[in-house]
Amino acid sequence: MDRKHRILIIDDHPLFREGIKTIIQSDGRYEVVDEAGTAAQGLKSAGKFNPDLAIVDISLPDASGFDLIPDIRKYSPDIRILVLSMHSRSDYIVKAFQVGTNGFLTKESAGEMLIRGIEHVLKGDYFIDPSVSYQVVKKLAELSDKKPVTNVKNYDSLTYREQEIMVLAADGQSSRQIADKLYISPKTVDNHRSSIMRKLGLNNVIDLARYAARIGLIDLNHWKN
Amino acid sequence: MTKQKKIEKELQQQKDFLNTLLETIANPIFYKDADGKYTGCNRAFEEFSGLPRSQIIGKTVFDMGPEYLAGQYYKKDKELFTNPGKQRYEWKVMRTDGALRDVIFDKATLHDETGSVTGLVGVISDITERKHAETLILDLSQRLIQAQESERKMISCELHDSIAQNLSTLKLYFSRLFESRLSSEPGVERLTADVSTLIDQTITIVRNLAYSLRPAGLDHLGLLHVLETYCEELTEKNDIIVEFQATGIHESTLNSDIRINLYRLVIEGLNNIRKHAAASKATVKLVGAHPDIVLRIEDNGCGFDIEKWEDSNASEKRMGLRSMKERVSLLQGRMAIRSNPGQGTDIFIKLPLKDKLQWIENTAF
Repeated sequence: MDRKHRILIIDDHPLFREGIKTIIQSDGRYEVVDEAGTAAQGLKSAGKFNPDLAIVDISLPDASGFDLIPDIRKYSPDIRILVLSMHSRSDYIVKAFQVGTNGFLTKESAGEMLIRGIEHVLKGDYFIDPSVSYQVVKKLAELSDKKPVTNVKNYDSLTYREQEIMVLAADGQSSRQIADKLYISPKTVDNHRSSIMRKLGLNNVIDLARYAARIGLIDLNHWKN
Repeated sequence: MTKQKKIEKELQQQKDFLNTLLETIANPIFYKDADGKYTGCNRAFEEFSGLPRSQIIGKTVFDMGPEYLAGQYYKKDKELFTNPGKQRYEWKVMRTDGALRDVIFDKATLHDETGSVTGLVGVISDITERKHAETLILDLSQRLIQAQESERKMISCELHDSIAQNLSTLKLYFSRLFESRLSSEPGVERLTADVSTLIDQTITIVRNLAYSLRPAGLDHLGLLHVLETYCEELTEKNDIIVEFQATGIHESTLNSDIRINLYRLVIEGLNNIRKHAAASKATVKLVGAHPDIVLRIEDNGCGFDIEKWEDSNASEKRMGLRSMKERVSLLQGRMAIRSNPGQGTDIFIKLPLKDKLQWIENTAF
């Protein structure tokens, strides 16, 4: 007979852990090598027992499962991970796969689906709870025909100081005025200005004001307070 | 001769009257010549500054207080002399005992018969108590919002992590119990399925309730992610396209207060649009503008007359906008609305990333 697949359960609800442990143990192919109620314990246990599969909850008392999963992966690159969570929104599921999960199951489906999920994941497949797969696929489908939002990526590369100067410059203030306001020298302001221009690919202050208006930073029209 | 005497007497009476008036008025009053030297003051000014008149007359602002305050007095006096007329501004005064007071200066230039400026007169209103009371009210209101949010968070977490979790555990045990022991009895299979469905439905209700109180994603996935998803869902469920853009935002530097407040503002803004605007398109923009953050909510809907709306009774339409305004002002931010009938509505909100109130407390003298 093949050796049993070794499973670790990380979940902070003892009664729920007990329930899924019973389900797993009643199948002769699997054994539960350890249980953990916190992320820290789980990580320690994963290192100690080197299991084939870890069943991980997202909401843990000391950390989020999203942070725990990459940590486990770091020490056990080949481990399979099945998330078993109360969260069922598609963004949670997508995020779980992004951080390196192999399968996702909602807790209310555990009774019917747990063994199937474990089988798939241990085989090397990805597994998604059929009750939520509809919305995940829908989200993926939308993702592909989504047009790029705006060409404002460059603005993300500005430092806080540059943002601050950008607002004042777009408002039409001179380097002198900006310098007085921020208690720095006009020369420093000029350096920041040229860095902003370079990062955003702009040539003059009019371009800068237009750019600021386009991303919504300032408004060129009249505002009523 | 008697006529002259009469005039002199009248003048003296007028002078006495003015003098009594000046000394009776509780506001500190001072006058200066065109060089900025004090030429006189009333009793209230003596008491306020803690100096007798004899030590005030002939002095300049630089003899009267610390330089960083005097510099501003001097600048403002110069401004007034350059543009004669009236002047009003808020600033601070240090008393001789070192106590710093918040004041409003009301000043006006004095002129000779040819119209050239000979000096100025100023009246001080001490608003320290009022400012203090305002700060207290603001602080209290902020705490109120915080208390409400932490309550919502607590209930939302309990619903999701305890109640929905326990329901799942119940379902797990329940179905196993019936599968193993009683499945041979007639009708039990059907009953098991019905109860499972009921538990599932209850879990869904509890889950939605928890989410509507406060999306857990704010902590797990971040504000930008939650807002983007919200806009997508709104687009799917309604006849409106909601776009979300964010730039220059460093999620890790947004504290949980600012995150939840931005979230509430966006939800409220989009709710307004759905209820009133009849728009086919809306855009939410979040832009980093250190030390502030800019939030824009725009729609192409029916718009409205802002002036009429402002004059209308508070209990009338668009309460949502009012509550947004209130939230923004509690956060020491600024909110502007631009709208015209038939031309859509744009909302511009600027919020400080740091709590300004805390700043005031930390730099209090």
